[in-house]
Amino acid sequence: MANRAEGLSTLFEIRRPTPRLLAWGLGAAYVLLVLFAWWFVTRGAAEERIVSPVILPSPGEVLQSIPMLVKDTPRFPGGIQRHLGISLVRVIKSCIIATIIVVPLGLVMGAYGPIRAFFEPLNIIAGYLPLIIIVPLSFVWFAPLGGDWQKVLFLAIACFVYMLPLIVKAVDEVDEMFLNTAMTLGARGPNLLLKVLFPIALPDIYTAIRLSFGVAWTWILVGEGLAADPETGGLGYVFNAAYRNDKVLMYIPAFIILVVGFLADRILAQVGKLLFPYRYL
Amino acid sequence: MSERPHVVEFKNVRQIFNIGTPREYLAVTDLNFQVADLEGKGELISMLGPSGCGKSTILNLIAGYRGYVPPTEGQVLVFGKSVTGPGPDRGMVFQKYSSFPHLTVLDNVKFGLNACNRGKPEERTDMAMAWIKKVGLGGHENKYPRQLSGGQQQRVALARSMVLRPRIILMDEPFSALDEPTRIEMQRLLVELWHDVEATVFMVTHSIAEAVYLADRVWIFATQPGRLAVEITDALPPSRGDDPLSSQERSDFKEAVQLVTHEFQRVNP
Repeated sequence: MANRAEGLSTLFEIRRPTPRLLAWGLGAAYVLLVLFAWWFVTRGAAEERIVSPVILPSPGEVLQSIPMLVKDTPRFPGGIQRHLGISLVRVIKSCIIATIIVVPLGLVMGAYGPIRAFFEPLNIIAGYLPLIIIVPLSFVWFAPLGGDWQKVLFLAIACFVYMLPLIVKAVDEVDEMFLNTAMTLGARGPNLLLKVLFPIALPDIYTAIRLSFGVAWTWILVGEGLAADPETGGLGYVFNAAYRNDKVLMYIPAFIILVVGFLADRILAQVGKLLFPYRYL
Repeated sequence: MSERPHVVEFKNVRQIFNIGTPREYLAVTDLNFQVADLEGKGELISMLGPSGCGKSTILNLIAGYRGYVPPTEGQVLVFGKSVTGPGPDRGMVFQKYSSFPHLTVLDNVKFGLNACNRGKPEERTDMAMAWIKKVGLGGHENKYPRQLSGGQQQRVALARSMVLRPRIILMDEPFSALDEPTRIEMQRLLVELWHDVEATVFMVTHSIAEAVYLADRVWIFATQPGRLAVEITDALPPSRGDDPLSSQERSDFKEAVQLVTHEFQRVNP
């Protein structure tokens, strides 16, 4: 007994790393505990439950909603899988559009004082603007472009706003020593930007792109909720339609958004390790 | 004898930072010196002094980095011309590891050759490889800086500078972050490379033994304000080229270290 107690107190030493397997098991235990609590408060017949089914459906009821979501119906044409694809394509498009604009902009802002001074208001807006304001506004502005572009461009703004300060910071954080070294080795003018600042900041720029993908992904709930129709839906549409009609259907789209967001981030992080191997050696 | 311009000349140089702010700070003042251009060989000048005496400021003034061009007062001349900015004629080795993290050893050493358009593009790899071998990194040319030890990273920095054959090499405590055996190894290497480069070296160091072992001249600086207080030339034993460890055992070497230590303490009481 004394030994086990000692083991426990060792594990709880401040900042002591927890063995991997145990850490994994503890995380799994948390998920199981939440699932158990969910099952516990929603078990039994509707009127006997601790939490009424109007507030929270049981795990079984949520699972039973899957066929309704997967089926090709007028409300969800092509099933939820099609809407997942629509959302993914939208977020990828928006991320690419934002990247094409914001990476060069952030680079020159980080490199050249006058350009930075000129665009500084934009950087401040990006840092403090509540995106939720942009949702209806962007829908008004981009209405002439049609439903899909409305949503893509809103998400692109979300990416842009998130990325710009991060990219300027990534360029700022390239040590002055590298620039001094490069100049001492004869590099001049634009070469300092292209051969020193950009490549050295690139892994951090990539991280900013990766994180902005995750941010845009969370904004599909709002971005696809407005001015949505079943044809051009997306996961955000599915979630919002479920909220208005059949609340038990909200849980699976929410779960998919969570899991896909997490997986996409992990995949992009692994791609980063392939793209910038020198940083992880 | 024809007038050869001095390698480096400082005329009444004074450098003040953050002028007009509460953090205004006089880094160095009344700097006057000339380093003659010796035909076919360079000199090594060791710069000793307490923190804040302006040793690094002098290197940065010669290098011509931003904030140091022009000096607050006076003139910094390199080969008779005022310094207007950094250039490949003045190599720099920092204490911090400055290899470009995204380039292999080979590409780091080729960086300057490409930037200066030296040699034909297809010859640059051979030029770089020759120096990589000279600094003892043969076989490591395809590694990235993160895969190298501190000593190896400083070898990259040496090769990268020297492949451009600068007339002046500035070294700001290049070996301070290294452990003692590596440091001695690097001193040995620096002496070896000497014969090839014929450059004038300015080396800031905190080690009196290192200063005495490597230098033709030792400059001792005093602080508040930073200034060049003493120059020691003739008291130094000819030890460069001998083994650093066995040199340190010799009595004339020990006497020189004692003398430099004594002078250091005298000007920095």
